[in-house]
Amino acid sequence: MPSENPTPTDAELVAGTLSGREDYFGDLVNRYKGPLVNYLFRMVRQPDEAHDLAQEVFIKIYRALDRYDPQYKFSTWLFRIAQNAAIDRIRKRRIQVVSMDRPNDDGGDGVWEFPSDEPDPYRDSRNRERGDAIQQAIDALPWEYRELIVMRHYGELSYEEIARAKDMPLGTVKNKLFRGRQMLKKSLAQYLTD
Amino acid sequence: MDWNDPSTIDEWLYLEPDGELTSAELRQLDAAAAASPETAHTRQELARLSEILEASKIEVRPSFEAEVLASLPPAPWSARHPRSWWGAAAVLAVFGGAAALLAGMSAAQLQPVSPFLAAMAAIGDLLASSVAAGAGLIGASWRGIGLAVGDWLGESIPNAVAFGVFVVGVNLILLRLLRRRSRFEVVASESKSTSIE
Repeated sequence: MPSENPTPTDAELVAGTLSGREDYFGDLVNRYKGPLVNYLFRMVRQPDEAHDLAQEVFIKIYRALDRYDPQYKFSTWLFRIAQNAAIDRIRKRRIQVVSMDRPNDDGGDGVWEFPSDEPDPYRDSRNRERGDAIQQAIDALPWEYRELIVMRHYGELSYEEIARAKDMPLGTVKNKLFRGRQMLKKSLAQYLTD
Repeated sequence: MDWNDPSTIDEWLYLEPDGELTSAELRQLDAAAAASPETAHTRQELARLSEILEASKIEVRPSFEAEVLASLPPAPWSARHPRSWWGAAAVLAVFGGAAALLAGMSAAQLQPVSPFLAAMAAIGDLLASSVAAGAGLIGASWRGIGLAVGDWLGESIPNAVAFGVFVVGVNLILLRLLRRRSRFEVVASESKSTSIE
């Protein structure tokens, strides 16, 4: 538990929350908010929507916390729920996620990326351009690669966690990440030589 | 794995940014990169790719955690799982109390039989009577329903056909419910397609 152990496990935090300590759930939120918001942001492409969706996911998790089985990783459970929430949201918004030819109608999102400490118009514009290029490259990936790349890089899940969350053999996860990364490298080639 | 095989080195290059290589594999990759400028270049590009993806993460808004905690519902699991032993304990207490009361009464009236045994026998009789009454009631109800349905079906052929359709329909609904795939399976299978409409 947080007071006795500096780094409590997820299962300990869940048990603590179930015993009435809401602040333990706060620790879980704190632990996963970054990966979850970033994962959802790459899926729905709107920062505010990603935050709202992440909040919904945490509330859903909280409601069902007593059904959590500690023999599975908490992150796997969290990202399964997040994945379903993101897919539902995408379906509702009817976003076409695979066409690279489609113009980026969420162009303003790039402002959120690469915040600079000092004013530098050239760097800002270059960062924005690169941010847009990254989003376009991710959007251009086939769905099966895109999901895994986003889970790995933005959700910060390990290969094993992705395999569990997706019900896929570990070898398939490695292979899809390999292929997805090859495509990303090709799409972003001009930004990889700086 | 055969590290002289170019496909193995290629695979390792892509696994390296995820920290998925053993120290021995890393040493072999270092050697391969030293021997091949192309491998070294790819390695550099992949490291850069990881860097720019990492740098493209957004900041979580500072109030996020507080917003989540403020919107949590009252602990829903305590309502979903009421302490089930309370009910059992209450029943036990009621029966215990009844047994104690009967035991006290029997002590005065049923000498020389053990008061406790007399009380238990009385409770047993009570339960047996209740069970017999309940069973009789259920039996009579079913018999009554059976007679009513039998009369209705015997009145005309359309009634019998309508009843048959009803029974088949109910069975089909049950079958469909049993075979319905879970939400996650549906999403997982649909995720295999390359686009979302």
